[in-house]
Amino acid sequence: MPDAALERFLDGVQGRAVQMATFALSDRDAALDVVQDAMLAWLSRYGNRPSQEWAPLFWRVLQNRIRDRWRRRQVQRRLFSWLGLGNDAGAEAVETLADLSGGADPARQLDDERFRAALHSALRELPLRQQQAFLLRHIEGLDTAATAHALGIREGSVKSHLHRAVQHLQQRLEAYR
Amino acid sequence: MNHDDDLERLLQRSRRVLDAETALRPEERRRLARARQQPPHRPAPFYGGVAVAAALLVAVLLWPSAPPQPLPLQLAALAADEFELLFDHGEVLEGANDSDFIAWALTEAGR
Repeated sequence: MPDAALERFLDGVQGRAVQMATFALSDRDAALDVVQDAMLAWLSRYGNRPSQEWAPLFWRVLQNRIRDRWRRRQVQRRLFSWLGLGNDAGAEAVETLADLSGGADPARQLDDERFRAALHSALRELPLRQQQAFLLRHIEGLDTAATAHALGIREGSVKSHLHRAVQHLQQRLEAYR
Repeated sequence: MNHDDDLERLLQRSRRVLDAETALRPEERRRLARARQQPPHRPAPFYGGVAVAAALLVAVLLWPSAPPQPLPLQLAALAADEFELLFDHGEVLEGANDSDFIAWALTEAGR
C-alpha cells in the first residue's frame, strides 16, 4: 500500500493524467486503464525514489503507456476498417465536470462552450507526439527539458512538435482571438 | 495587440478550460484508488509483429466481400504511424529552414 505522500502525489496528478490519456485515445475507459497501469508501474519501480523525481518519472511512464495503447488501437482500427467492421468509438468527448460558465451571462456561456468544443476538436486532430508535447508543456506546465524527458525525445524535437501544435491550434481557434 | 499577446491569450484560455476539466467522477476516483491498493501486475506485452501476423491471419479467414481499402494501404498507414513516432527527430532539421520556427524557438528558450 502506498504511503500518504505517494497517495497525495497520485491524487494530485491523476485528473490531468486521465485527461491526457482521453485526448490520445478518445476513450475514457481505456484512459482510466492506462492511468491505472501507469500508476502501478510507477509505484513498483520508482515509489522509493526521492520525491523531486516523482513527477518527471510519472509523466514518462504515463506517456509510454499512452503510446503503447495508442499503437494497439491503431492496429485494431486499421484491421477493423479493412474488414469493414465498425470499431471506431468516435471522438469521445473529454469529460466536463466543471461549470465553465462563471456566471449567468448566456452569451459568454455559449462562447465558452463553443471554444471548449473547438479546443477539444483541435487537440484530438493533433498527431500523438504534438498532442503530448502541447499538453505537457503548455497545460501541465513542464519546461522543455522535462517535456523532452517525459516523451523520451530531444528538446529540439519537443520544440518542433510544440511549434506545429501551436500553429494548428491558432488556425483552428482563429475565430476566438 | 501583437501576435505574441494573441498567442498568450489563447494559451491562457486553453489552460483555463482544460484545468477546469481535470476533476474525476467519484466512481473514477474510487477505481484508481482501489487499483493502487492492489499488488502490481504486468500488463500483457504488445508484440507488433505478432499482432500484424494475427491480423493477416484473421483477415484471410474473414475475407469480406468488398473490403473498404486494400490491406497494403492499411499496413502502409500503420508503418507511417510508427515512422512518425520513431523518427520524429527529422522534424528539427525540417524546422531549421522555417524562420517562424526559429523565431518561436528563440522565444521559447527564453521562457
